[in-house]
Amino acid sequence: MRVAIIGAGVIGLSTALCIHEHFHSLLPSLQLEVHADRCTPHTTSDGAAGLWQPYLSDHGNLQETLWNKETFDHLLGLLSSPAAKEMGLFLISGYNLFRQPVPDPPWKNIVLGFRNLTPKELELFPGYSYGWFNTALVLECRRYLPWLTNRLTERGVKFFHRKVESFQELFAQGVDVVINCTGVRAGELQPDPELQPARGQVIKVLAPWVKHFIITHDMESGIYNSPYIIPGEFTVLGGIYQHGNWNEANSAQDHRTIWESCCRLLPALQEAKIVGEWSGLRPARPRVRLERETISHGQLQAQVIHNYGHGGFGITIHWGCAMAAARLFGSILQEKKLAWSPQPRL
Amino acid sequence: MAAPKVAVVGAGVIGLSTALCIMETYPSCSVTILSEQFSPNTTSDVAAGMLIPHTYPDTPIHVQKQWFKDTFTYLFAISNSAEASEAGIHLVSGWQVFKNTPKEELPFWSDVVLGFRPMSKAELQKFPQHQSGQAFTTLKCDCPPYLLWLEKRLKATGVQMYPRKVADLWELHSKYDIIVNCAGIGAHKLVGDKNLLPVRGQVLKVHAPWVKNFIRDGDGLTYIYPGIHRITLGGTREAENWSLSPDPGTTKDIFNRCCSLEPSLWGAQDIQVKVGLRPSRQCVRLQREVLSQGGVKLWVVHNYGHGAGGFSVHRGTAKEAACLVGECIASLQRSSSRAKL
Repeated sequence: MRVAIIGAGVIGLSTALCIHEHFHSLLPSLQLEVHADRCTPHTTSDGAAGLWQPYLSDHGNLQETLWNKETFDHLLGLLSSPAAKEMGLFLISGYNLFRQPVPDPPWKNIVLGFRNLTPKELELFPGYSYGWFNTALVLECRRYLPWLTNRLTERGVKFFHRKVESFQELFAQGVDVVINCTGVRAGELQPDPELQPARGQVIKVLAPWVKHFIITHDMESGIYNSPYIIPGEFTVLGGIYQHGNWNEANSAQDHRTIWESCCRLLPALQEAKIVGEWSGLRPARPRVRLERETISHGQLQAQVIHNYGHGGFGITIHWGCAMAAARLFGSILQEKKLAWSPQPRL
Repeated sequence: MAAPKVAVVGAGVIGLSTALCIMETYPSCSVTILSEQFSPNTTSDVAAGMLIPHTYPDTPIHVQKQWFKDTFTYLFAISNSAEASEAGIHLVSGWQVFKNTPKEELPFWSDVVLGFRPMSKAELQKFPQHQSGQAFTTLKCDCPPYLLWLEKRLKATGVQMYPRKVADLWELHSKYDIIVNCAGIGAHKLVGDKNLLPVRGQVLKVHAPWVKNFIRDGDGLTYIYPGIHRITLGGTREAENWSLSPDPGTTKDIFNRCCSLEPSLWGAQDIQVKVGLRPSRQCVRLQREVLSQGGVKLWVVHNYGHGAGGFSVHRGTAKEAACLVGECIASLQRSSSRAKL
């Protein structure tokens, strides 16, 4: 059984690992391969700061909240393991700031120690009158993706550095199941008007005295269009979210917006040394596309599992989605009568 | 009377901050700092510089609280300014965890630090050997940066600094009107204070930049304090131990204890070992004294004996010491006008 995953960002690699972990012993004939034209450090995931934090509201999409929780709990469990450092995983506390009171987010009980900010704390952030404090996680893809790649390589998963032009092309080669983790460019394989780029830009600086994340929110300009500061190997400054913009080049104007607004938030940043700048396209969609599709291939029916459209919360939701994709794969195996009870606990 | 000439003995956090307070309050003073050691070789440079107060048995709690409040407010303003990184002052959040829940629910400083509250069950799961804990956000003064920043501000006001081992305060009487004794552990010999004893502390300074939160065991012996570039891992409290040599067995023990609190520390690199002698006393000696010898008077203000809590109260005690210096100046002016009569 040949399974090809298209895409080697956080979604593609974690889905590949999840499927291999759960099915390789059940299905000795399982051959997993990853096809991608961009690999770490050139994927969208690599540019993200890696903070685990969903959007402020799930718009009634309880499924996504559950996947977020599954991801958080999974990562929390890995914190004490020796792999954590190599994965780029660590605990971090910080602030979400607002200019007016807002309802608590659906993830308030997922993170640790969620509470409102005290008046004294708000003195740190002139212009913001309300906010939250909580402890969450950072998962830096610059480390996590190579770690995932190593785990997959150890397990005999093959990597093909190439651009897939169509699902058919893979089926013609003898692939039985395709897992579509192509992120923002999924539309090139199958048109999807609901999928749009949401361009972001970040400045990377050296500011090792900053130990907290700080995310500001402007309810009018929308998510991530307000300055944010996320510490990691470097400190990431951001605050750009441009729906419909496909331009992957850095913009001087966006640089100024980010720099000025972040320095206003944390005056000491003026002393920080800039070490890099990056732009990327969040694969924005009203909801994540995570479903099976049967595609005709000549006389045969071939299976595609879609797992894309994770917007600005890919890292936050990735493991929950990988598990769900693995369950969909399990159902394919059952139908083909390739799997027998008991199925792995997914 | 000419501008009073003040000598501050000691250039750790207490000496430097006291000198600065004197200059801020009495700008007409001429202040000189004399110290055997300067940063990076003071006791202060070994300490993590966390603002978590130590309780002095013989000082009223409301006084300690005021000292801490003054210090916290002062540093809070710096941490919020463009100078924060140069001064080495930054906010850090974390947890104090207890194997045995303490009797008193709230420490006296709980409403001075930020966001103080009991830890949730979910947070405590990270510490399976501990029963309860407190979460809060406080400030950290990284040294050498903080001491160097104080030195820079002092030099800008015209304060001179000289490396010099003062063996006796009377050495200074001919050149200075008022001596401010911030000699820390040095006061044991300098003024023969038998109540001042060292509490030896060994710490590790390691490279583990992914640790962003502090963790402190409520017993005060095991702690993990993230600084700008290094994490301070501690520690020991060895009463009356004068040895400044690092002990390899202790190093291993500290590292193991810290790794059991925070397992990711097993991956820490470049372990440096430091030792400091906390200048410990039942209460901070913060008082003025007039010494007499052969008809000559020498005004002295003592500000030493901060033990494990120097950073937490440094600004508060410096301000009080500056007031005492003011009282000395007033006394000097009265004697000098009387002498004219």
